[in-house]
Amino acid sequence: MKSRRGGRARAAAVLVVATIGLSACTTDPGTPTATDGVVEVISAEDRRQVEPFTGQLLDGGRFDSTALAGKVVVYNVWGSWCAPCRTEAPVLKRVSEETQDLGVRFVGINVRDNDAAARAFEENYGIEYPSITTDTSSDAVLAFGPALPPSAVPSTLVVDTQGRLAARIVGPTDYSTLSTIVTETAAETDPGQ
Amino acid sequence: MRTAVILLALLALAAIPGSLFPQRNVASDPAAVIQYTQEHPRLAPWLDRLGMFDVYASPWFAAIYVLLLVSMTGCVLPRSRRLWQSVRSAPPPAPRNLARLEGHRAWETTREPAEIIATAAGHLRRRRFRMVATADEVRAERGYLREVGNLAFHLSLLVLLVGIAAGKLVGFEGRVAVTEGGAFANDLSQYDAFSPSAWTDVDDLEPLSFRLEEFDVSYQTSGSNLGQPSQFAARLAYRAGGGEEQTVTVEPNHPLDVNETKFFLTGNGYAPVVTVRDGRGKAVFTGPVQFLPLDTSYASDGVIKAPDAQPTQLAFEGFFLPTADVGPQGPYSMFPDTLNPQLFLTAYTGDLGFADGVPQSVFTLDKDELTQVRRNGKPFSQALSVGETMQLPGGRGSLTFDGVSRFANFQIAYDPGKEITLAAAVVLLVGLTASLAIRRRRLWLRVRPTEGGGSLVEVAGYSLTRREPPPEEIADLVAALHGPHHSATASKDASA
Amino acid sequence: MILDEQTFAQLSNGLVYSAIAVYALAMLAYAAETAGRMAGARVAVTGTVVADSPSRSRLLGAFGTSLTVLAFLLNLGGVVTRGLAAGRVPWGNMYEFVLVCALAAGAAYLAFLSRRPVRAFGVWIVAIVLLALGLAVTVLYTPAGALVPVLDSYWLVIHVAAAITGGGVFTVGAVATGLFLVRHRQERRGTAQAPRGRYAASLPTTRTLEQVAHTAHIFAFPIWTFAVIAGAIWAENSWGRYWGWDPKETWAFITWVFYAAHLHAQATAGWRGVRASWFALAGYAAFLFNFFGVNLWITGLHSYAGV
Repeated sequence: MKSRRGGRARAAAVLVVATIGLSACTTDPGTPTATDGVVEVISAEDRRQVEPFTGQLLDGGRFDSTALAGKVVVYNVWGSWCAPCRTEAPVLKRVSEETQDLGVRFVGINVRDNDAAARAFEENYGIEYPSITTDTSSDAVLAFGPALPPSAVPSTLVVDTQGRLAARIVGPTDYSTLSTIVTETAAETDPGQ
Repeated sequence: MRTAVILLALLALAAIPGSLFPQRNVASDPAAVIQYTQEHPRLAPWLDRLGMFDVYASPWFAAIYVLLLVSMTGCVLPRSRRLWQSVRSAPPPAPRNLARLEGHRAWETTREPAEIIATAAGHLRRRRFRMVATADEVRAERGYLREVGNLAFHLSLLVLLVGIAAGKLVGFEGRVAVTEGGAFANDLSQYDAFSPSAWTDVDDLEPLSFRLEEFDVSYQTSGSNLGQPSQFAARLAYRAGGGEEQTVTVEPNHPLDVNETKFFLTGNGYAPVVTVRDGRGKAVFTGPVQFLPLDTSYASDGVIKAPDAQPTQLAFEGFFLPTADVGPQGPYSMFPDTLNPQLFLTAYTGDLGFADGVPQSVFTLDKDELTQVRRNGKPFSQALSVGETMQLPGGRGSLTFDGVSRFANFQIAYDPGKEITLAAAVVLLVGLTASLAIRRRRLWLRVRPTEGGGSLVEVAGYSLTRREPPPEEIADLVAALHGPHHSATASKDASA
Repeated sequence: MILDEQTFAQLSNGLVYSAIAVYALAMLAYAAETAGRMAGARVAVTGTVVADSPSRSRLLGAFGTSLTVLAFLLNLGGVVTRGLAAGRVPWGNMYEFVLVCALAAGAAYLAFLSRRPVRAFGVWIVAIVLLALGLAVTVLYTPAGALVPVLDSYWLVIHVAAAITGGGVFTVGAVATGLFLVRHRQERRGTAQAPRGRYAASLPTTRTLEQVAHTAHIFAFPIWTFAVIAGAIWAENSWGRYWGWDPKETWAFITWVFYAAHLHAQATAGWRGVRASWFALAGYAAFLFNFFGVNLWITGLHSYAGV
């Protein structure tokens, strides 16, 4: 396996697994979907770089993470089949609109889905920010591995202006959590220096 | 030893119920316990209390093997010490009456005792006996490797079990079903099922992704094994650790192995490709849907959900037949390959139940808030061949059967520390064979002067195991000393 | 003439049926020999002279052995042609497995017979082999064909070959152990009057029987151990885990543990001999159950072995 990391991340991971394990047991061995969010905010000095990645977008465009260098980017791993993704969709839409002016960008990473269903979902919830298609999302999913991987659907990953992972929310997020994390990350003037 | 015998017998008996009752953690059929509980509502709770559905993880089973391991350790350590002592000490002196031992031979000779002792000592040394020669006696012993083998066997058994246990603590098992053209990234979010162990670091999975380019199946098309699969092969394009894309074919018994994370091909099924259009004519679902096989002819069932269809959500439920035919009991699949693929579906409208945020299976419908689509008072259903479309009455939407894909089931296992386990297994086998095949035995030779001025030579052996010492060893020694070929009368006379 | 697969398959079936017929004759010869020996045993005990029965019985025994060798060769031919018909090792399903196991038991018996006075086993070994072959052709028969993909592995050759060899030698060990118990009882009671006592008296001595059983067990046990380990490695190769308590694995384990208990009992004062023998018989019973019971009644991952 890869290099080791601190025990803190691992302890959190155990908690996540416990949560996922429970939800997976009660429904079906379908797909691990988290029902409760587990939030990890990483202090500036502990952050690790997210690898650059590219992908195809649902609207037909091309995505390159390096094009967003210098900006705070919120990545959301989602699927139209995932019920908790529906509960958090309005939250993501609202925070993305509110933080647009702070220079924050939102990008969806669609997984285990089909493009027609994903587009119908976005239309239904009025999601305006772009999403990487299921077929090209593998690199995006693995890009966070050196820091902390998504671990469930949905997961929300906040990347700071230096391209490092600043926070991970495994499971559906609520408005105040996401809004606070994103606003604070965007407000960091000189993170990690 | 008696403790070991009793514990071994108990262990064997305790393992039996686990093969007679369905087990929770045995891979073959996860639903078996639930089914058994439904069939035996009175008995099952009692069996459950006794741990009968989880025998190999139950406290009483563990108690037996832990006791066994403790008793084994308690036996092996003192024995190792004793072996060490006996290897360092000289073979014991000959018993007074050699005639009572095995293979006893005696004869008179005129040769000098010293010469006889020297010849015998040389002979036995060449045959790798540990040996001590005195003025009138040769004491020899060999076969220490028997005990070495015995101890090596027991110790390597311990190492083997510890190795397996350690691997289990950090390893994991998971499952995922990937449709042709579909991709998998080795992240927890992409698994269908994932069973971590106590120390699994789920944030540190091997960075690896693959796309299932093609899944090849062939079936026997003639003969008595008609329909039996003859080949499964999944062609994957994979990338490990950000490296270049490589192609690999995964088949049963040929997993993809990336740094001990292994992908095993364990099953497959069909994924009909469909397009669902909603009431507005807009495509709200396009792609393959995995259907779960029900029998060996791959009659499969599944559901298609379109939660974002408007004005009403749409859902379809039904079965897929790769080679459809109609028999007396209705439609069935004649053959596992897609000779005449058909999709039999009924439709639902209403609320799929996604809004409350509770995760649901992709293989079942929550029908609480759904209404079955009806026509002329009967449930609306239709059989579709590839290319055909079913139009829902009242313009609520449509479904087109575009084609058929296959999906492959992968079992994913990370189980490090195999080298230790393998080495232990090899030592275990070698040790066991040595401990059973090698005979530890002693040989003595004694020379006494006779009244007539000659020497009386006596040779005898003694086995420290249950098998007799090889008879030719004594015969060879006698021959080397130019003793008589057949000793029957001589030995009787001499020992009298 | 070019022999095609179909011809080989038919030839194989013919050879197996011939083996059954010859084994049946061998059993008759051995049974007649046993009857003769029992009469001989009565001669020894009562002093009544029954003219020339020992030499006639010896002749019948030799005849039985010749027939057994012939039947064994026919069985071997049946297995080889079966392999040629299927184009692979001939132990890919239950039918073939029983054919080869009968072959292994026959081979183990003949090998012992060449070194030890164990002709008294003949009637029992031949009966077991006959029963196995009969079951194979009636209940278990599967036409020759290719393997299901999951069995298509060189581990099939290794793991199953070891299990079969171990099973064949265990069969000789079990017969020796059973006869040891019969003979031991008779020696203790010192009676040769009742028919069973007479039969027991006609057997080799307990010492010989025990030695043969012991030799068979210590020969077969490491092979069985190897079969279990090879099976675990194959399981890891094919399903990603060494051991999953699948019924087949469980019963292989039970067999192993009973034989391990037997070997320990043989080295324990007070357990040696009769008590230890029961563990060996329990081990053989577990082996038989694994062979037939698990395949026929319990479903598990090994179910594809095909009945």
